[in-house]
Order: sequence, then C-alpha cells, then structure tokens
Amino acid sequence: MIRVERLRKEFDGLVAVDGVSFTVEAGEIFGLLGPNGAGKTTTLNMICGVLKPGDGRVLIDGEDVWAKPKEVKRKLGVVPQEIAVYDDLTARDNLRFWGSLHGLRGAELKARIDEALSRVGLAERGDDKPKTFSGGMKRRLNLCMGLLHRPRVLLLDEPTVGIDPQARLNVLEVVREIAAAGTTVLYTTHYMDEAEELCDRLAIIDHGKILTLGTLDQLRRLAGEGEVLRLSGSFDQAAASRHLAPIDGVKLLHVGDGDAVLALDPAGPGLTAVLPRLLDGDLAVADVSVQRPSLQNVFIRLTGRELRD
Amino acid sequence: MNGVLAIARCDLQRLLQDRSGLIWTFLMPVVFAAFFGLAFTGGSDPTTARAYLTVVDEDQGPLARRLVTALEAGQLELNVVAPDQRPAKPVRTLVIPAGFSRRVLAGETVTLRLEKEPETNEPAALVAQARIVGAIARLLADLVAASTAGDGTLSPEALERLDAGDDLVRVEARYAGRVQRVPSGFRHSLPGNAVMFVMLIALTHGAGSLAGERRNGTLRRLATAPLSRAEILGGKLAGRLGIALVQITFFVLTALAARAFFGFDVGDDPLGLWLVLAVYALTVAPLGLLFGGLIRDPDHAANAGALTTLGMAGLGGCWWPIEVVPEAMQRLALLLPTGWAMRALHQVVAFGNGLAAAVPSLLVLAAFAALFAAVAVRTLRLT
Ligand SMILES: Nc1ncnc2c1ncn2[C@@H]1O[C@H](COP(=O)(O)OP(=O)(O)O)[C@@H](O)[C@H]1O
Ligand SMILES: [Mg+2]
Repeated sequence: MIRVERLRKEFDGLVAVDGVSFTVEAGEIFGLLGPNGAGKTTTLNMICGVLKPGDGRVLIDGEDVWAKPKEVKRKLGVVPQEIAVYDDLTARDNLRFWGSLHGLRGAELKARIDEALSRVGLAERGDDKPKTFSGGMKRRLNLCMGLLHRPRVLLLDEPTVGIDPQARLNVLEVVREIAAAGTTVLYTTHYMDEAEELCDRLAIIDHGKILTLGTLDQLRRLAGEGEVLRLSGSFDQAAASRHLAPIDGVKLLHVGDGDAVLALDPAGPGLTAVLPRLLDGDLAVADVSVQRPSLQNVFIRLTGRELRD
Repeated sequence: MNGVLAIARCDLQRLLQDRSGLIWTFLMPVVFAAFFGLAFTGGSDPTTARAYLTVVDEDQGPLARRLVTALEAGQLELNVVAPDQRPAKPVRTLVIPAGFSRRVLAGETVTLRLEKEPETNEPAALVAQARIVGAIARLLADLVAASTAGDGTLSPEALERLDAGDDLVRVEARYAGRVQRVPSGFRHSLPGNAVMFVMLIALTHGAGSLAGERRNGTLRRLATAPLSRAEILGGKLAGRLGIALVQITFFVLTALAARAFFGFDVGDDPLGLWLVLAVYALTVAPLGLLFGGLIRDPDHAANAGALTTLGMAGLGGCWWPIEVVPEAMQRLALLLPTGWAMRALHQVVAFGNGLAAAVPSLLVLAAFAALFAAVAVRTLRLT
C-alpha cells in the first residue's frame, strides 16, 4: 500500500534522510522507530506530499504522490507531530473545515464529525475551543482530524507525545481499531514500548538511515536470545577496552569513559561464567545492569546508544 | 473551488472569533473617520469660498475695460472703483496703472499690482489669484489674436474687430490645476481612514495570522489536503479579500447611516466609494500574505505590517490632503497604493467627478494588485 524507495533529503548540508526504503502492506500497522532527529518526520512529510524528496520516490496504492498529488492525498489521513488545529475555532468547526476540504458536507459531514469525536472521547467537548483543552485532548482532536474522512492510509507522527497515560491508551486503542477496520497505518514514535505493543512490523531509523526492519519477532531474534550488560564505574575508555575485549562469551557494543555496553553471546558460557571475569582485575566497576532481550536491546546493539525521550 | 471557498470562509470565521480583531476591523475605522471628519469640517472648499476683489482702474482705457470684463466672467465679488474712490479696507486690490492700455498696445511690459491684507482665508486667496491669472490670460489671448489678424498692428480697433468675429483663441480661465480643491471634513476623513484601516487589517491581522499558521502547523496540514497549491493560495487570498470587503461594506453602510441620521456630508457617491475601496482591497490582500509569508514570527510580521501601513497612510495622503505637502512628497505618494487609492477616492468622493474619473488610478491599483499577488504567490512557502 505504501512503497518508499530510496528516499533522501538534505537540509543545507545535513542529510536528514539517507536512502530510506520500506513497504507497508494493506491493513498493516508499520512502525518507524527512532530517537529525536532520526529523520522520521522528514520521511513522513515526503510520503504525504508536503516535502519534495531530494531523491527517491513514494508510491501510495501504486501511484506517485508527486505525480498525482490530489488523487493520492484523498486517500491519505495525516496526523502531524505538531497540534495543527485552530485554537480559536471550536473542535466541531475545525472538523467541519477539514471535512469540507475532503468534499464532505451536510448530514454526512455532521455524522462523521459526531463519529470521529466520540471515537476519541471528545463527544462532550465538540463545541468548545481547543484553547480550553488539556494537552491530551488537543492531541486527540489532532488525531480526530486525520480520521474524519476515513482515509485508506493513515500516517501518524508521534501522536502520543506529551500526553497523560489515559489519553495515550485511548490513542493506541483508536489506532488499533482503525487498522482492524482495514486502514493501513504508518506510525512513527520514539517510544519503544508503543512500537512493541502496536506494530506488526517496524523499521528502526537513526541518522536518516534504516538500521533494521522486520516483524517484532525477527527483530527480537536479531537482538539474540542473550542479555545486554551495562557497566558503569570510574574507568576510562582505554582501560575498559583492554580489559573487556579479550573476554570470551561477550561482544563489546560500546565503550566510553565510565560506561560500557556488552552483549552476551547466546552460544557462550553464560552470564554466571562471564560476570566474575568482568568484575575481577583492576577495572573499577561500580554497577552492572542486565537487560532482557527487547527492542531496546536491538537498538543498543545497532547503535551502542539507548533510545530515550 | 470548494476548497478555495472553505479556506476563505475559515479565515473569515476566525476573524469573527477575535474580539480585538473585530474592534480594529469594524469599530476603529468608523471612530477615526468620525473624529477627524468632525474635527476638520469647515467651509474651506475653495469652489464655494467668496473671493472679494477691488479693482482700481487708473487707466480707464480699452484694455483695462477688457480686463475687468474678463474678471467679471470669473465670478469674483468684484468692486471696480475709480482712483479717487478707493475703499478704506479692501481685502485685496488689483491696481491697473494709468497708461496700461497705451503701453501694452505699444508692446511695453506693464506691471499690475495686487495689494493684499494678511490672508485669513487661504482658499479664497487662491481663488482670487487663479481668477486674476485667468483674466490676464484671456486678455493676452485677445491681444495675440488681434495682432495676427488684419494688418498685424495692435490697436484698439483691431481688438474691436476681434469682438465682432468669432473667438480665435479661447482661454478657459477656470479654477483649475494642482491647487484645485482640498478635500476636507468627511470628504477627506472617510477615504483616508478607510484606506488606512483596510491596509492595517490586511497587514497586521492578515500577515500575523498567516505567519501564525505556519508556526502552529495548520499551513503544513493544509498542504496534506487534496488541494493544489494554487487552491490553497487562492483560498488564503480570497479569505483576505472577503474580510476586506466585509470591512468596507460595513464602513460604507455606517457612513450612509451617518448621513441619514445626522446629515453628515459623506461625499457624492457612496457606491463609488465602495467600488474604489473594493479594487484597493485587491491590492492590499496579497500584500498581507506577502508580509505573512516573508516574516516568520507572527508578532514581527504584524508589527512590520503596522509600521508599513502607518508609513504608507501618511505618505499616501490618508492623514492630511496630499495637496498640502511639498511637490516631491506628492510625487512620492504616486509610488504607493495608498496614494493612488486616495487619488481615486478624491475624484469620486470629494470632487464628485464620478467613477470614470477614477479609472486611471484604479488601473494603477490593479497593476499593484497583480504585482503583489505575483510576488506573494512566488515567495509563499507552505512548509
Ligand atoms: N526544515 C529543516 N531544515 C533544516 N533541518 C531540518 C529541517 N527539518 C528537519 N531537519 C533536521 O533533519 C533531521 C531529522 O529531523 P526530523 O525528521 O524532524 O527527525 P525526527 O522526526 O525523527 O525527530 C534533524 O537533524 C533535524 O534537525
Ligand atoms: Mg519528528
């Protein structure tokens, strides 16, 4: 349904998106997971025809967004990262305006507005202005505007940033419902758990490049069955490298002054055998933490960094 | 097309939600126009000013008589006296010196003397002066005609012959020219404030809200709708135009109400006032988008718009009649849409010359509109 081919975008010298390719099948929830500045929004903007790709192309349902913008945009629902609503118009007036741009009018428009408002739990607040809303309510209205015209493809850009857990659950629930009804969803986030919870497949993106891509299971397997170990203490980088590199059964992912990250080799001797070797000798380790296999580990394995807010 | 209208309607709807926007759009122009209209109302229209002139005829010759006749045709409050009958305190006196006719016919230069009291009535002085110049021109025309007719000698008889025949040269000595009439009262304050406030709203509210839409992402969201760029820009332009038209309509209707209830002199042609302002709105609407498109920060955009409006209003003749400023400044006004709008409005509102007289100025305004729209469309980025 969505086919992204070698997308690339530069902003005066800075390569924001660097050869991104993936496909999203109809009815699938596809996640684009990456830290801030990874290039998620830039990618999304190129997909929905807001930003012209520097290179590569996007096909929605087999059609190029830039060749047939109107036809393609009719199929798209976009929920932008910023809360793009008119604060001074009521929620209903915002929706009415947006619906009329998609050719909805009269009784049908009104029915759609009622439906969309109650879907995101704003039925009671339709006649209020967003400037009186909480952050979570504004986010839900922002989502609502992307759903109104029942798009075949829904693009969501970090729709849960800065909202309370309750509202967040509501948003995830709505996305799941929409997808269950057959809508193709592209969901970007920097929240690991959201991606794990929601997505059928996902791609991990950092510095404008897709690092890996697959189903959740495939990605977890990539992280290996093994745990990830984090050491911290008052050692320097050189000493840590010297000490840790020769140890059997672990792979050094990242070494810095005072911290190191290692992956436990599933085929190696195991945690209990490795741990004493890590801690003996002259390396001043103050703390060790062990993380179970998860997307977090995949990310750490791929970048040596942790994915954070 | 539906998209264009939806965007335009949305902008209008947002203005209606904005209390201070409403006050500045609808109330302030009326308040300002009323205040300045009442403050500067006075019988200073030179076409109706009574211009007194005493003529002392020391010459008593044929050319002096001709000059007096020409002055009489100029509709002055004329008082022709012999040298020994000079009144005690004339406002202004034209002295035709003895030997005037003889010396002029002999081809000598003769000086006519205009004696004036310190002026209290400026327009009347201008009128008197213009008519004296007109009468002299008429006399000269006759002299030229007489000298070219017949045997080529200039004589009283040649002049008599000239009167018998048709006029060869006719100098229309009307009160005309640059100092023609200076609009005052409501005839100036209505056009002046309408021109200023239509621009003010477009360049502050218009520019600010567009820059705000870029900042809060609604403009980017608009770019995801199934609309072409032309439709989006067209919608924004139509929205600003619609707001200006509502503003203008309210303003003109208020003026009509003021005429009906208080008998204010709001000019000769309220419909003409509306039409000229509507053309002017076409010029100003894209200018607002231009400011909002070029300046990122909404507050900066609105501030720049306000300053620009005040500058253009002052220089364009919205605050005081352009006729009272130095000529270089009057030329400067012709570089500004406000200057042309005021020019057109004076024709229609103050001078009652009808819309046809304003057409050249309207064409200039249309050219401004095309220029501003082209630049705005070129420079405006939705994302
Ligand atoms: N309009 C722009 N001009 C310059 N740099 C930009 C622009 N938009 C994004 N960037 C840069 O491109 C990179 C990717 O940004 P973005 O796509 O917003 O990342 P994400 O959405 O994953 O947080 C960042 O380094 C960002 O600073
Ligand atoms: Mg982003």
